[in-house]
Amino acid sequence: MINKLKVMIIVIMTFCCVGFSYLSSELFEYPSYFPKPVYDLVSKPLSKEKIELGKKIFYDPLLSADNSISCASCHSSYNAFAHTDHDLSHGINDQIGTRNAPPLFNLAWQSSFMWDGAINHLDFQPLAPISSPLEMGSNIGAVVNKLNQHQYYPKLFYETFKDSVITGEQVLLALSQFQISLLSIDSKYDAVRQGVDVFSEQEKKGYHLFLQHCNSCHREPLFFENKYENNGLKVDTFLNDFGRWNITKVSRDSLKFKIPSLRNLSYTKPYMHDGRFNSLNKVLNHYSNEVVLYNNLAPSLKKGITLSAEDKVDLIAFLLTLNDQKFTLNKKHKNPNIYP
Amino acid sequence: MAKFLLSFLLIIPIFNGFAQDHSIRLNFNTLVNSNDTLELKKKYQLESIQDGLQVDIFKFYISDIKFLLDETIVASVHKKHFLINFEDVNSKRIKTKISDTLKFNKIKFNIGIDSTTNISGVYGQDLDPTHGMYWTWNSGYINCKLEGSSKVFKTRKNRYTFHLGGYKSPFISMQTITLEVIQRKEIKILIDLDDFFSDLDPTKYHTILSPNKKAVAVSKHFSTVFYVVE
Repeated sequence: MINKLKVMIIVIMTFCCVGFSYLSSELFEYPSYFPKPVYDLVSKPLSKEKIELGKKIFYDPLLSADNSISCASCHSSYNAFAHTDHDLSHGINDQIGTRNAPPLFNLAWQSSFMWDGAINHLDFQPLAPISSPLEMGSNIGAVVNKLNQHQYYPKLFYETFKDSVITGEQVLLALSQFQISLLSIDSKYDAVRQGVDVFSEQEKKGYHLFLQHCNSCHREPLFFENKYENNGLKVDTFLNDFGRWNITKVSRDSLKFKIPSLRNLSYTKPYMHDGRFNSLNKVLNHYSNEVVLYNNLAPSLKKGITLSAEDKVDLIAFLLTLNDQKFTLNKKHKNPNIYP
Repeated sequence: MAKFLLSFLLIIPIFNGFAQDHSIRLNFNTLVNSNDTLELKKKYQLESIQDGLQVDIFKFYISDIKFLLDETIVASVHKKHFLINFEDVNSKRIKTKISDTLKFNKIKFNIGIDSTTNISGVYGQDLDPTHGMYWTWNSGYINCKLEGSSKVFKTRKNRYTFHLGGYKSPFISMQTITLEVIQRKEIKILIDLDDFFSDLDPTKYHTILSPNKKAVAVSKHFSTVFYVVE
């Protein structure tokens, strides 16, 4: 009986170890209070080589038709991979796009991409900017041809995938792996959750206001949801962007946009899908005073959000605890200088 | 002993040859004008379209090929997805690993890509997005691409463009068809484009580039012009 128990304990411990090593492998370590990632890391496990290769491609302007624009052109590591000071991003030939470039981090928890959720999987996300005539103006076939004829890439791909020809699948997998490696988990909020720091009185007040007014959509600990809501913004009559409706053509989806993360707000301004607000004050003013009462307005906004001037200051103090400078300054994520 | 080994080594490739020869093949071809096999970028006079019709691009996915004896599945093709591209002769022939001794009287397959594959991220080979069969601005495979020109289409340069796809309700474009076949080694499947165009209203259907009602309607229509040549 005792022997049986011993065997059972060993079996259970082995399982625990396997589970633990999966959760906190060196390449992908995330806090215990995070949910399970959405991206299938079991059938597509991260590898150091693939992450490094993906990083090189991410920073390489050969992705664009005229070799001028890379992913990093609009997703800068210093800005949590967003495009600070640009309401709308620009592509080849100085063309202006129609949306604000979102920051890139904690993407393994995201199940749809783009402000309207047009893209259903992280692997396929790069196809959109590569193909858009307003962004990179190329296509994945042309990119794969360029890579196959390149001085250095064929060797790098061979070392990583053990295949003599570079394929679209390999390019997209490598890009996914680099993007998954962009983890932002070292904010003050995280330190408080882990019991190694404490909120100030003001931050604490802000946290309670956050839980009361914001958490139903920007749910902690990720501070986003894989959902779309209409947050009561006036339509920009120049862009006429109806968000999720563009994809589903269902009237109840009109003006719904993906709920973005509130982590790293100091680095990711301006805010909203079209970058219309350049400060957090303006965002809070919108939610407390300017929400348009559409029929399909987010339920949590229907009763209105009342915030005093003091509340706003407290709330912003809490939101700033979601900044993660360790992430934005992480050398691991910076341009690896492809060409020696 | 050496002789024995040598003859043994010689026999292996012969056996392999037999194994290949005795497996079932599917051959996809396109019929225009009742007897011509389709050549891309060539103008044809059709019974239904006297003014002529040209096909520039024609490719589509076939998936989940199964062999049936009456209502029972007796074999499935190991590889799940095949891109049939009329620009690439080899793609029109599917070599299975199923022995031609198999008793069957029907084959069943999907025209297009199922929803699970559509939401599971990137794949290689026939599903690699470099084949131009994946939408970049709204995720999903294009099940069938058919492009060309004819004067019956009152569009710019008389072009018709069908990019048929969509895996989400209510616009699911993938079609499953079952065809009766006589058991044989080489199964010839014909897609009759004369039938396809003669029953298609060119004023209503000419440019389809996204998952929508028309894409579903044309996909259904497309699935009715597959025939087995006896």
